[in-house]
Amino acid sequence: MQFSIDLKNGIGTRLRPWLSRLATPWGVGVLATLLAMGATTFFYFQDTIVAYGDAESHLNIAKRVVDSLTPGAAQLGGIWLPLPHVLLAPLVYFDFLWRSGLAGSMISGVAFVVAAIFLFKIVKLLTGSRGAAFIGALVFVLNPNLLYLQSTPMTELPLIAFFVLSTYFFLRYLREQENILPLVASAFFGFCAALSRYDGWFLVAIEAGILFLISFPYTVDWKVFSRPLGFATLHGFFVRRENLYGESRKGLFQKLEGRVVLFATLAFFGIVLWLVWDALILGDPLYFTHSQFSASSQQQGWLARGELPAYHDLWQSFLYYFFTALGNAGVLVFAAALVGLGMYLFRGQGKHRALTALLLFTPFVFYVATLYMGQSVIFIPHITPPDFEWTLFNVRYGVIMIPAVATLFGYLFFKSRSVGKIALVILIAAQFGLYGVGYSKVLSFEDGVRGLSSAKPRDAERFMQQNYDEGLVLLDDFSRPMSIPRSGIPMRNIIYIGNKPYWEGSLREPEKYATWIVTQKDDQIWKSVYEPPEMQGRLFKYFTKVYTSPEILIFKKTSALILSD
Amino acid sequence: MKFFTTHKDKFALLAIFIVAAVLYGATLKGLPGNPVPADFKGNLDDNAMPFELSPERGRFAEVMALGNNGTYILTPELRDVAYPDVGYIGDRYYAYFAPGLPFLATPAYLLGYDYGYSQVSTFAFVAFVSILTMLFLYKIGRNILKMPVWASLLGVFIFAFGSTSWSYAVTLYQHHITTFFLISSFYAAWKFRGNGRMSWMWGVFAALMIAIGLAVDYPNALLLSPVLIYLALSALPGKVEEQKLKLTFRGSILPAFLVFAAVTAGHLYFNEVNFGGWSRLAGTLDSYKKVVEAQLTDPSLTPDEIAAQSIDKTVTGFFSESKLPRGLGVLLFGQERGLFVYAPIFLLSIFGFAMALKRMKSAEIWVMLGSVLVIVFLYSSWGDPWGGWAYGPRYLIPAMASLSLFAAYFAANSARVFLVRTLTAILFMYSSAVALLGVLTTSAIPPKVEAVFLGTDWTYKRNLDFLLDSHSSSFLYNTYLRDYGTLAEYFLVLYALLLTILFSLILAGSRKKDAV
Repeated sequence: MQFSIDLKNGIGTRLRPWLSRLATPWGVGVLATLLAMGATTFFYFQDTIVAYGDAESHLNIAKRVVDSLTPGAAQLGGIWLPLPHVLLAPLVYFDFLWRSGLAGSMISGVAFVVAAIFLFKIVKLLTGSRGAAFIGALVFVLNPNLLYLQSTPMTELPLIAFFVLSTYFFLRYLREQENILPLVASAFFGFCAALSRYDGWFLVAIEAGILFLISFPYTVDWKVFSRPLGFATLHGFFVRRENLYGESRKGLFQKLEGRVVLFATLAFFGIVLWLVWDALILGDPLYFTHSQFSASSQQQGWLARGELPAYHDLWQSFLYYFFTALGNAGVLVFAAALVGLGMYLFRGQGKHRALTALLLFTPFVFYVATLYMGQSVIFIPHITPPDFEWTLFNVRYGVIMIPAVATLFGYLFFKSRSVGKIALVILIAAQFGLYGVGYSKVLSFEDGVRGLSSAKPRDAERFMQQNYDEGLVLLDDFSRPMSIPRSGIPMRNIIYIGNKPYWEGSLREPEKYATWIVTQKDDQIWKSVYEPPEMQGRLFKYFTKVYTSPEILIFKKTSALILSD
Repeated sequence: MKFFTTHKDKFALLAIFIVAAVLYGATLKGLPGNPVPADFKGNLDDNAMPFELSPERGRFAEVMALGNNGTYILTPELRDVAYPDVGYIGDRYYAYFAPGLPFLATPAYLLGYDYGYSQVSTFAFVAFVSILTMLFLYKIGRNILKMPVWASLLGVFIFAFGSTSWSYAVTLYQHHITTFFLISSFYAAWKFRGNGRMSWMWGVFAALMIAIGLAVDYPNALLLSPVLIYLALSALPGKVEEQKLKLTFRGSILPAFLVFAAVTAGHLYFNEVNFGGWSRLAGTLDSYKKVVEAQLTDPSLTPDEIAAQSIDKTVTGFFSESKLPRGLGVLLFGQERGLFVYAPIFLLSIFGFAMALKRMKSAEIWVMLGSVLVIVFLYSSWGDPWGGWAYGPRYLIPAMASLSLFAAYFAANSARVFLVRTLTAILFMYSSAVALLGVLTTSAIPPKVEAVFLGTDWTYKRNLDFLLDSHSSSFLYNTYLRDYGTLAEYFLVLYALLLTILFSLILAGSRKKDAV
């Protein structure tokens, strides 16, 4: 029995225009928007948009800029980079968007759509194939970890968008080096990335390094290594770079200087701004690395407990990030991308393949380095010893590798023949099957709701929700004794460490401003107001303990208590 | 000579049969007699005894139930034999394993029972099936991979005697039965794809093998899936001509489909009748071990109350991506079970696959590679990649069959003839020595975590002590040859035979002009 499907007419005629429209930047944009909106709606009704503790902190930082006891740019602080909070600021002004976290969903959602569109363009740039570009974009937009994170106020999606944008324009510059506009665009988005997360600093540094290498008047002829060993082996190792315009060596050096300066001035400006900001506001340009709130300070606790396995262990650092990237990208998709990487490096065409791969793998190098140095920590069930206190923490760092994985998957699709293309599409479906049967977990979501990264709902929060009436509330937000958005307290009624002079004044004279004091064991209020006997006397003179739990105490000003009774 | 070259494949198949029969016969595990339940505890379940581990005990208990009682339900005595791998539903007890192997092995049990060798004959059934696998492997090497006779034979012998699969070909485990269904169904599907005169029969055969295979071990649903997909796609060949996708549906697949549906329906009905649901598998039954342990602390607890406290077991719940890194490490590189540690000859398979993919560009290579990857992927995600107490990576035995052929493919096709064949010889010598050491002594090698606790070794060094103490599991050696020499001498005789075969094959391959 034989039957045929007419690819040109019949079903093909009906499907082709749709497929053709979908495999365009606009098509990908529409698809990504629909998926983003669907995912955000789903997670909104699941009440998991602000599941991460950090998600709430991002919302609060932005809220304090526009609406707090002491509003202003200084509320941006000196640890987390400011751009995501600046973007959030106009939206969190509206209480509903702040409390629900939807302000963050909007920013991350737009970033997701932009990233998907430009990822499509990256694959198209590398392959020239719209089909491969669409498949690459599909891998990106269907990733459940990304779909979750794009519904949250976390900063990964803005970084991914700027990373993809900067990479796209940089790759365009590599292809059309006489046109400097893509270089300027790349530097601008590198600047944005550098002001979004510290990963961006590494990105612009790598881009600058690549720019230097490709603009250097001399290049390396690797073929010399195929010669027999001898005195003449290395002769001709450095050769003059070909140039189309017959420029002199001096001209080439001037060109190198001009390009690097042009790129670096803009791309590194964000870094300089941040150092200056920290110096001016906090008195230390490297406050973000030294202070008690910095990531590296927090890692010291893990190190003391012997639970920082990647610290000063390059192999473990590599393994930790490898499996974090794998877990976020999906094991089948990741494996295919590795094959795609091999294909691209060894069977690909076009110049600068190794440098392009390096650019795509910038996050990988960054995280391996920071894990090694103890600047970051990841716990992932795949390799974290089960006897550790936590086996799930910070796994979302792996999503930064998804653009690279999607690009290489698209490339593999491009290089495959028909059967291979069908197999790759089946592979994407099979990956969903693995999520469906529970074989693979949506790790970034799991970490938010169950891991160490989650904002554990506290009973104290419910107490305040039911009993807070009015007045200022003194709390140490860094130790998160409760969720401010969920407690129903207006942000402008909160006194926290960033409210000068209220904070310092309250630690000396707690009754001076605050009507309520919320303190958690060993937080700064506990140490300054509750623990010292002389301060405790003062505290109980003016305040009455209205809530007690093993970890958290809440006090209310006695006069206010009488009034409210 | 002409007669020999004309019928070289038949001679090769005969050679496989003879060599395998001799070596499997020499290493078959067992003791004379028809065991009864009382023989197991503290006797037949000791180290180097035929039922040293629970998987063979559990399956044999089911064989005894079928052979002696005509039912798959275990009596209380047989339940204790199969302990701890026992589940229950109501007042019925079953071993945790899929029912296929006990049903297939029961005729061999009954045959041996009449002569007082029921255990030996049951184990010999697995060896016989393994020999059939070897014959199919040879045919794949010759017909699909287009390898010369010597290389096809080498591939077959690497699988049988150059890997730890040997230890499981002479006892009652499911791995070699699974391998047979995988390899034979693949070959049959290839024949079906060829669209020859009797191709519909090959289709039926392939479907039958896959359907029975599903009843032999539950993960086979995934292990056999590459072959099933290959068979299904072979029934629907297509090509693009003038912007038209032309698909042909081969009606000859219909009998195969009917056979597959009938056998699978029988399997599901068996589950319904015995395990309380068509989709319920033996492995998901409530654990009898938990009942025993719980009642030790509180004798008043009933099995229902204990079951209510347990977490429901699901088929997919056994596998998880988070176990993958550890599983890959244990199964491929680990000292306890690592494939490349116990049988480094398989390192050549990686190059063989790469070479075959580059040269042949045929769907069959992808199917073989796919089935290897599925097996490695699946069992690396398993909670117990060690396979309990075991010798080598026993879960990878079905993958070893394909890997062996590709190791031989590399040896046969590499341009660096001398280097690669010398390397092949060295790696085979090492791998087969390790394999022979295991099969002659014990498969009871604990995982490191248990071995440290017990103060014993967790690698094949433990088997060396057995060898030097002449502590063997071999039926032939223990029954007839013990008085004539030590186990080490017996080892050397068998090893010399293996090396003779190896060097004969490599020499045959080096005779360029008339290499067979």
